[in-house]
Amino acid sequence: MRLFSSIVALCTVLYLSGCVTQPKPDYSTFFDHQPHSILVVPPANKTTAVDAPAVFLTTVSAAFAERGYYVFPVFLVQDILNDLGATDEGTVAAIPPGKFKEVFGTDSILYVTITDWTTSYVVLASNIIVGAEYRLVDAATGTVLWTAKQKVVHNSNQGGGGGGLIGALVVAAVKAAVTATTVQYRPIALQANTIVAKRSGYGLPAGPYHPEFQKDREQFK
Amino acid sequence: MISRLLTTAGLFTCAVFLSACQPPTQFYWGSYEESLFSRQQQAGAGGEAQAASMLLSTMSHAEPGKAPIGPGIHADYGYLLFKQGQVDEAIAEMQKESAAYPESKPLMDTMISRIQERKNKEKKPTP
Repeated sequence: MRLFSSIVALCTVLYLSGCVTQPKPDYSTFFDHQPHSILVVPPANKTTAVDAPAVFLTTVSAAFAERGYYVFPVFLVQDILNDLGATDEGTVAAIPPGKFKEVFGTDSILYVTITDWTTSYVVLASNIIVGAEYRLVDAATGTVLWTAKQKVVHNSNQGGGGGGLIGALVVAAVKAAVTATTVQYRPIALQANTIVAKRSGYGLPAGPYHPEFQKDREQFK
Repeated sequence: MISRLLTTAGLFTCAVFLSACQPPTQFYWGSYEESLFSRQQQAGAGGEAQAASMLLSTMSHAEPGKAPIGPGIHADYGYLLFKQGQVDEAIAEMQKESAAYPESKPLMDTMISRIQERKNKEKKPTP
């Protein structure tokens, strides 16, 4: 059952990502400043969900490191930033990139802005939506190396369930009463990060810890 | 006894089955990100202790010669040990991080020297 729902989710994701036809990004700046390490700073939040940035931060490391990069431990980084007085998204955004290089020794900084963290209701089901914008910046020069947007819509329709119309109405009422919880958002955020980092031609080219390092240039032009 | 054995065997089969399903990864992650989430959900010493034991178990499950322990895991574990007052163990973990991932060396060196400074300060007043 769980496997089935993951497959459905994956299909939804593939279907949605298939719809988007963005122009292919130019990777020449990226390759000119090929980073080896990524410092993920606490995300900025455009949604009303207060806990979204903290939860999102627990879903970024593996997705980006699996592309072959050293990703700094996110909570340690957050605590050091707090110690330096950068306790909210405004102060973090105001830190010059070179300062991150000086304090952490990082090659690049990943800024994330959460754009969607919502549940929307259609009659018998709900959609959980997680969306984010990503910006990777070269720490030495402040140059933008890569940008991307990703939105994942997870449809949680309660398959059949029987009970006829009344049963269906009850399901709808119960679902509408319960807003999706953090535990439900987290896997969607993980999916968004994995997809955005891996996507051929749009994601992050393989880094030094990946067997495809410097061999995947054809994909990223 | 037998039912216990069967449960273990069942779980093991499940684990083998699940691991076979997963695509190959560059790194071994265990429950690193779940440990972050547990800290996020439960701030303070309780969440940190739970996260530390999750990381310890992650490191003990990594198989030598296969995918290496993911970046950040030794450093994060070391940081949690430091917060728990286990200074020498904390330094050892940070050294492991910097040996495995040279990208982390500047930060690990800074962390280690801060921890040592604090350790020396705390030692002095002892009678």
